[in-house]
Amino acid sequence: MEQKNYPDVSHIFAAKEERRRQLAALSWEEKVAIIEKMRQAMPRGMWHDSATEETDAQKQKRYRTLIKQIIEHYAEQRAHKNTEELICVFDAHNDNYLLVALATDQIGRSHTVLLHIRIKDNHVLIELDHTEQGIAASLVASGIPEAAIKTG
Amino acid sequence: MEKTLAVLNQMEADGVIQRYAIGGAIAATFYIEPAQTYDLDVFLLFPASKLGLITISPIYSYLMARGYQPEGEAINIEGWPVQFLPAFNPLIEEALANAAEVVYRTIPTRVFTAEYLAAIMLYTGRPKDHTRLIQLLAEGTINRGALTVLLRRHGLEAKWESFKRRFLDTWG
Repeated sequence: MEQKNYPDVSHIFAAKEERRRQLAALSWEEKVAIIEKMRQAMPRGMWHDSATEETDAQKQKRYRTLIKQIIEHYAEQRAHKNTEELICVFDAHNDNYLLVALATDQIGRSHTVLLHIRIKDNHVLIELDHTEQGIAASLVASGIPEAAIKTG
Repeated sequence: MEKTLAVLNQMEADGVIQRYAIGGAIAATFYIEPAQTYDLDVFLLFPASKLGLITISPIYSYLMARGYQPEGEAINIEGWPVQFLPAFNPLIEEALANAAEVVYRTIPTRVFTAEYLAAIMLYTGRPKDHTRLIQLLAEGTINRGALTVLLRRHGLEAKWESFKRRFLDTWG
């Protein structure tokens, strides 16, 4: 096999490394100023990276996980303060997520749906919400965009 | 960003938020070279409702009453989209408690220390986290002993070993 001669580019990499070191050594203020310039030069949404952009399926999977976690967390917190039995009903196949409360008092037995959330057309639909604070804020805090949440 | 931080400090003084600290790319920039980012990640203990649910509503109400508008998952405060993130695990909670007190121009603020940032990057484990972690280690700003203790306490040793095998063959 013929031996090829390739140019020595080590000085290019060394220069890059030196530049990187110089940038890292700048003050925080100077570095943030650079970031601010980058933001102006390339505003958000100017281009889309198809490799890193979340697909609808990935989005749906993430929403599903977050909704389950939020309902379970809410049920856990509520269970500490109430005697009712709380049942999380998760239908991942059709994307319906419910929280049901069963209780018995002097009047009799009650069966209440406290929460019903579903995922449809890449949106999170709050069909029913009997939580005191409203579940929407928790959904937003968990990272689901406000624009993706709809109330029934 | 100076004005943005001043607003965050005022929120803390007004009791709208508890202790906050900067994480994410802007915190990393404190230690390594600047990288493209669009928002400021602010970690905090969210005020919990009576039912224990975390809620961002009081924060947004406070800011919107002062004319700041939501922008996607963030809220724009003086030109910087700020994303408020709850301390979602014990590691973040600890990072928040031990954040470094720093000054940006004239404004006091807090950033996660390099060791906590490294541990969080390892925990999240996205490609960009690994890139930043390599840079952090290369800068020599990390106290290796402190990082080892931190990783052990939060059960991140296996992730660290895997990271070392993949990216740091020469790590001592």
